[in-house]
Amino acid sequence: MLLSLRTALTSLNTAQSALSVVANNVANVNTQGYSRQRVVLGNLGPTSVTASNLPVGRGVEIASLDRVSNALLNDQIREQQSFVGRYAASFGFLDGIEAAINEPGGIGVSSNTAAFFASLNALTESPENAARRTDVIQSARNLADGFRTVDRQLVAAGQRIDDAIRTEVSQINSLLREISDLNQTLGASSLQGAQPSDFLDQQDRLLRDLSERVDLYISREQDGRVSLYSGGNVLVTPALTNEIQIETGREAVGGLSLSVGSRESDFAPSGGRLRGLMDLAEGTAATSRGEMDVLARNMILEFNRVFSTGVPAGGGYTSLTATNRIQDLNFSGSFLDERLGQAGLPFQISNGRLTVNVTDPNGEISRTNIAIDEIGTSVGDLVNALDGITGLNAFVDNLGQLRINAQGGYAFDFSTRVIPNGDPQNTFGSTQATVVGSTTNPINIPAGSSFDIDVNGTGPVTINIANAHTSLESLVTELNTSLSGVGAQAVISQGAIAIRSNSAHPATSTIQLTEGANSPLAALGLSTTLTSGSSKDVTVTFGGSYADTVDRQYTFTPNMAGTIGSTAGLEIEVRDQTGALITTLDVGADYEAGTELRFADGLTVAFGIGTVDPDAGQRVQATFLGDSDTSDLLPALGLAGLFSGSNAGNIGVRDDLLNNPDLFAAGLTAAIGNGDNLNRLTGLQSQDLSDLNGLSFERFYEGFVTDVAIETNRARSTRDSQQAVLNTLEARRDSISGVNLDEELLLLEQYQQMYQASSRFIQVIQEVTDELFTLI
Amino acid sequence: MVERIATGQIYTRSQIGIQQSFARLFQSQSILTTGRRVNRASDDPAAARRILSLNSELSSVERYRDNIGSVSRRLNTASSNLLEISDVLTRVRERAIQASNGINDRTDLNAIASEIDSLYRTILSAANGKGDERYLFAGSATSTSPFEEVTSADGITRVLYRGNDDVQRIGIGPGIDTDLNVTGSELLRAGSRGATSFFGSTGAASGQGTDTLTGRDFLQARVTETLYGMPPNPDGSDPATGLRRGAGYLTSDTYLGKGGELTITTDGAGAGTITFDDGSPVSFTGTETSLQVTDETGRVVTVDVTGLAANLAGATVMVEANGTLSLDGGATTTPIDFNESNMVITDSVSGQTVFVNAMAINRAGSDELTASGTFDLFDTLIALRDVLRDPTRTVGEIGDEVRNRIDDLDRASDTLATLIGRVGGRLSQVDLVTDRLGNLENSLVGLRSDVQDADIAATISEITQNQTVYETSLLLASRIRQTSLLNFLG
Repeated sequence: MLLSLRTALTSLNTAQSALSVVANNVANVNTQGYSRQRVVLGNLGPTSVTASNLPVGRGVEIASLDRVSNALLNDQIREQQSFVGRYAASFGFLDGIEAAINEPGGIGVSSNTAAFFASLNALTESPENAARRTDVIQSARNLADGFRTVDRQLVAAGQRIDDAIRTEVSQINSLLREISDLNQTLGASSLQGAQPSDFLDQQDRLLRDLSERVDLYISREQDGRVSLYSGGNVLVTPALTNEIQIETGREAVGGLSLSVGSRESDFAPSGGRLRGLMDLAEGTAATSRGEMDVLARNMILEFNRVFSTGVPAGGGYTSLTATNRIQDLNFSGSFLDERLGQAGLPFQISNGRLTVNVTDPNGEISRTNIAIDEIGTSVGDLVNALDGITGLNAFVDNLGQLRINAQGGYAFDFSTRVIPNGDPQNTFGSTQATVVGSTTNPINIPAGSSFDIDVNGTGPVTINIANAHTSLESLVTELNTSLSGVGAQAVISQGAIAIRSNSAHPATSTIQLTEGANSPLAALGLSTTLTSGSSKDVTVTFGGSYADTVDRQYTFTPNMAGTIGSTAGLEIEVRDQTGALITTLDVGADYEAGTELRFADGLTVAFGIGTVDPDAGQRVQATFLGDSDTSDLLPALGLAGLFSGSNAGNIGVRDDLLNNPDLFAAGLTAAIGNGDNLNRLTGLQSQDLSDLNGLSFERFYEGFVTDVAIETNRARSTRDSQQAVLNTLEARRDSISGVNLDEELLLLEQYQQMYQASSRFIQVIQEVTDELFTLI
Repeated sequence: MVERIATGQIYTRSQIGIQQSFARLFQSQSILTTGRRVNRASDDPAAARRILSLNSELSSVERYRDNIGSVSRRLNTASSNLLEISDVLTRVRERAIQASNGINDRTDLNAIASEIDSLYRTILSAANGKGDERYLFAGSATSTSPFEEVTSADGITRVLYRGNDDVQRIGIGPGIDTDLNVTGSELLRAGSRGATSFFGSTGAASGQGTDTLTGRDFLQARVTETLYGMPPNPDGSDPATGLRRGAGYLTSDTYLGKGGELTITTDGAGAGTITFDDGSPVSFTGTETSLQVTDETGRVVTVDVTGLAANLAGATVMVEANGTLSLDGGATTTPIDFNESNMVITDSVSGQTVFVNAMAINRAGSDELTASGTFDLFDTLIALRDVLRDPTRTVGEIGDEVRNRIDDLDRASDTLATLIGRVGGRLSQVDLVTDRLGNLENSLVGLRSDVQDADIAATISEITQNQTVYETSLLLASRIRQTSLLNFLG
């Protein structure tokens, strides 16, 4: 009987324990990640000794307390969380990048660009209109502001991502520490044989939290302790914890790089929020800035290339300051000894040529070409070459900015403009008798050469050349000391030497050269026929505009001696640089002097009245430029450009333009209504650039916007679809591990009845015992 | 298939469902409130790209429309100025015909001249017309007035073109350009050049070659030095007879060239006679310092007879006079080379040049040069005005000259008519392009709307649908919450 009481007691105890499990389950009905526990009852085996010798069971016990969970499903969920975490993190920040770009429809770079081209076009219609000039400069400024705004926001987005990575890492580390602590506890509790269910639940929650942040591979010990691996690195083992470290010293793509523990190995998780953030930091956030920089940089370069070779409203610049600074990279204390190609300028300089046109106070334009060699030309060489041009002063200020100032009445530009005066030295049909040579530099005149000259019949005089000469310049210098004595002079004209009577002799005087020692005249291509001056200086005036992109040289030679506009049959033969005859121009008796004659596409020439003589070597040579800055020196220095800066973060409009819209180089001639440069500028809208993957500015930008949009769109839809998968997995997990109140209520009912029944049994035993005691 | 439902799941499920349908409602709402289907590029990346490129196409169409606006404004202004010039020219022609009919006296002609002068000024101001603060007919030199009236020292007025020949082209449609301006040189286009005629008595003739003179000009031949005797003294006097240049001879001498011969007879007191070639003998008393002697053709030399030797009996003195030619009233001069058949003489004011055969020049004076066929609009008007006031011409001669100018007027009218027609042609081209651009813009706007704009009806029905779903989820959640075993257990 006592045995029966003990049996009933086991039932009471068991029912109580089972009820407390139900209570625990009900209490955790809303606990995230709680795995319901289930009581498994077991009967106690019979005792060996019974009254009737029958084997009767000894009651009930809780055989086990099961934690209802599916380990495989939990692993799947964790994996899925890594996915969702990765794309959710990506989307959160991509959203910010997309908002920074603000397209389509917003006031973004796209509408700024369109507005800028529209204002350029409006100016084409009346280039002299000051309000429209101001409008163009303002739109250029808006465009530059647009770039800088996007850039700043992209930088801020990048910083936010870096901050997020820092937060993420510190949270991951704190989770790793907690898991490590749990490992210790689990080890200890299993030794004491305690039920670790709650600890395991806690571990599950930590692992889920962690796997949302970083992908995990988990290996589990029998006692529930875990080892965690991620991205090929050990994070946690029962014995150790490797925290993630941020390598601040190393500048990786996104600005941050991660490593694990004491091993100096890079930590690269393949999932989780951390991966998503790192993807962004190294990917879209960095490339977006990069793409905007490429776009801004190319816009600056291309617009400045065209703009710097235009002509401002006044017909030239009087003062310019380079916006890009030369750097003293060799620390010599001077800017002048830097090589141009290695002077820290933001754009590449090529070997080529810079053309400088200077308009003198009389409106006469002269052209100087400066050869630029990336390595061979130093800043000092450039400054000297510019400073040496009549009418210009050039220097580098103490900030490293090249400055060019025109002297009073002079103005300068760098355009391909057609220089009207085709005969500045007046060696083509001059009133002074002129013999022109044909040999260009280099020449070879040995020392001790000589020739005779007879000016205006005053009798031959021998001119001795004492020194050897290889350049026309040095020969001219030496000759002039002796030629001045006979009323003659030597000049360089049309690339060759010209010897002429000077003002000591009247107009239409004569000149006769005779060969002497070493035949210098033949070497120089100077004629020995008698030549006389013209009744009138023949003017040669070029007009029109040259649109081709390659340089072309034309040579104009009369077919016979004669007077322009008077001598029947007089023609000017036009040859190109290969010597091929392009055309002949009739300048004979029927030519009205000064009439423009077309000799090539877009180009005209007009000859004034006067006498010309081919036998004296008289000719006109003119070069028309396709590109006046083949060296790209102007955009590299930021000289005469539209935009300043070199990337999306520092693009701006040249300061002096903002103050003076007249400086806007709309034309290619001095005429204020000329808008030829505007046509070149607006042409950039449809120009495909190899640096922009063969796309135009706008197409490139559209591509960039679309790329970011696709990325954002993909992150969002991946996050959504992966979230849906996660939801399903969690539903399955909940359906296995979650608490169902109805179910628990039924169990409650069940165990309550069990308890009531056992109580009732004890009561029966008590009554039986009482009955027995009454017998006593 | 889930066979067991945890109580928490019901809430989670409801929560997710409510969230989702609410998010869909929000999305539909933002589509409806902005009226756009694509609000952020990531809503539909492909559509976003299409929108961006349609936007840029549309902005270029808008730009063309802006251009068309200013092109037609500008062309209309130019056209009305040209029409005004043309109208005024018609009135000039009426007056010119009136002046040429030969029944006018000088007073009438002067009155007509005054009227023509005012009409000329009207035309000049129309040709210097401005539109949008720029000179219409100046090429690209739009800030300075293109036609400038200049007057040479010899009284010839000219209107010089100070503009250039730049023709502005502007895009008014995809691949369609039009010229925006008419240049002043087109306005001044004259006929084909004929020979330059010399009207006067200096003996100068046209040289070989093509002159650049347009309209009229005066060629002045002046004496710069008269030399007596062969060879003369350095001061130009004759060593043999003592004949000297008379006072003021530079202005009074008209003899130019070589071969002149003076025959002098004097008595013991120095009085006598002097004869120039076959001219009439002139008597003198011997005290005259400025005695004018004329040859049979009326050429004059001025001599000083005070130094003449006594008792000359028919002594002959060779006379030679050098001189200069000038086209600009003496502002610039060129020494006459009597052996040169082709001198080049330039007017420093206009820069125009004539070739002169100087071999027959024998008399100082002023020749009127007329470059036939080269009278531009202003040359014609000025010549017309000036000839009507010319006192040196008879009324009949004036009539003849006016008739010549009427031909030039007709040619100027033809030039104008051509220009007006050309501008009109451009305007109608602009109208055509405007229509085409309108169509293009409509279709682009339509395309963009297809891609970008919300389908309102569809969106509204979507909203209704989402709303129903949303409400159902809410209802369900509240219903399910009420069902629990607790409600039934006693």
